[in-house]
Amino acid sequence: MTNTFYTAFLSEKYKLLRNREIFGVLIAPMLLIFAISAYIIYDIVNSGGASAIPNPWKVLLGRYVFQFFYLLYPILVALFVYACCDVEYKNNNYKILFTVPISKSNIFFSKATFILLTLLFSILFAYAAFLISGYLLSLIYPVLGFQNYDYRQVIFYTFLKLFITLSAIGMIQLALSLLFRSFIYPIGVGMFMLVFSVLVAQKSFSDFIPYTGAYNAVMNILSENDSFARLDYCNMVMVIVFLLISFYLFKRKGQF
Amino acid sequence: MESILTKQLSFKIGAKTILDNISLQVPEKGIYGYLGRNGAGKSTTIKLLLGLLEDRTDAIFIQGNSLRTNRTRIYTNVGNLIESPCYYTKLTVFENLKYLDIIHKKGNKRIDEVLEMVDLHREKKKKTNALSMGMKQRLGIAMAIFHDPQLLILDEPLNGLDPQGIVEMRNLFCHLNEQGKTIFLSSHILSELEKIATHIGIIEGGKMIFQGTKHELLGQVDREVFLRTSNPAATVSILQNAGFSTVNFDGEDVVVSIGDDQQFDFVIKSLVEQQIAIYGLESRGADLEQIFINLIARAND
Repeated sequence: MTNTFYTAFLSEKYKLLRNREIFGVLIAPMLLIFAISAYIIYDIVNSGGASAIPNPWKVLLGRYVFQFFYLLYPILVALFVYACCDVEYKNNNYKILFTVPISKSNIFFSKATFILLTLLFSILFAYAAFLISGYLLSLIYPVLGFQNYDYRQVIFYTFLKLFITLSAIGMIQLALSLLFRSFIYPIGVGMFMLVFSVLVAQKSFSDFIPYTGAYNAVMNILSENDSFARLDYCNMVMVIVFLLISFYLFKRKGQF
Repeated sequence: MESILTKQLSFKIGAKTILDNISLQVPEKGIYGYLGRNGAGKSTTIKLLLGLLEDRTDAIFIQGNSLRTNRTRIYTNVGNLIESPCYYTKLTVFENLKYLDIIHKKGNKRIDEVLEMVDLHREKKKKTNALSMGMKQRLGIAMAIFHDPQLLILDEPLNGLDPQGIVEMRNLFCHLNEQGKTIFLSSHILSELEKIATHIGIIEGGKMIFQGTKHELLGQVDREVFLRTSNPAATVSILQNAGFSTVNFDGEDVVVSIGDDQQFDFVIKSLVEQQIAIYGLESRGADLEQIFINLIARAND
């Protein structure tokens, strides 16, 4: 049986895993965390020694990492999602995609699943890198006090909420990438929304802008927030809404 | 049963009619050449046949199944190459076929087999953007035939191929046809179509102006027979007396226009009866190109 979601997913995975952009979204956040950890070590060495810090998970590692993340992650997601659509734009490959014996719905949902799974793995790798960095720093410089704070719940919730945010951003970018063939529009809109969301982050309506979630990740880690808020529920709804919008746009793509 | 059947297929974009009541009848195991000028509606027909444009009238039947309701099932048995070849640029030649293998589950052996068939096995590990235009076309053909489909729909499959490549592809199409595959192809290279097509369809301005076997098409015009005889003057006289209006002597051969096989038989018998020796005989029909131009001109009159 050819027309199955599983077959569609395997074929999409085979094709999309050969995109270099996927390694950017999978590895770059993890490398960034290790680079920040290396910088922390360099800074300690340079300043002549470490001193105790109240909750270094938050003040030291968390602050640096998430200040980079809120700007970096949405752009990586936008680039990755565009690359997933661009493979079909090149050579008008939708002609291949829509003449294989797999239904459009199976193809679309396998593509969307691949995107969401990649984002999940990216967050899991970053989460693991964050914990490993903290534990390594606690071993190298016990005086910093990483071992004195059990911050796992806040870290878990911060990464979970970041995943939900990135999933919503991913689905919005998917809709934009399906709507516009040119690279400029989806990436441009993504960057604009990122800056705009930082400007309006304190307004109550910002909860309806998924891009705000990236900026809020910094606030979550600093304010020890380990519960869901309206923004997170809105983002969950956005994932579904933009998934359906993207599906509609994808089905319409069949008409050359 | 027809491999492709369209029942008065029409297609409009806005108010403009692109196809007007096209009733294609592509017989199973035949090679159907689909001809038309640029903009006549060939590519639109092919896109409709492949479901890349939507036919809301349910007028298309592939291997007896309605395309509208059996789309994915039909695709398991149809291979296609439309206009320029499609392939994934970030994948190698092998990986492009492997991607199809994941869908069709034919195995790596089939990949090697197909690459041999299109003479691309040496480029197996090359990235597709390192291929020449002709090689890309071969890859497109390899991807079209990979799943061993019973029906091949090919739009300009010979584009970008060198003369040797054209001959190889012609042989490949004939070989596939001998295996029982139906081939529906459009091409601007009419001499090639003339060599391999068993059936011809001609479209002009969105309307079908001819459909039938190649012999029916070629039989629509007289052919010239060149006769080298022992007595050209007597030959001319005999043929003129027999009622052939167009008889000439070009200094070497007597040239007579003949309508059908019976007339041809009559000419030979008449000369033999008059004891005129025939040293040479060549029959030259109007070629497909000339007939195509005449039919288009007639349709536009």
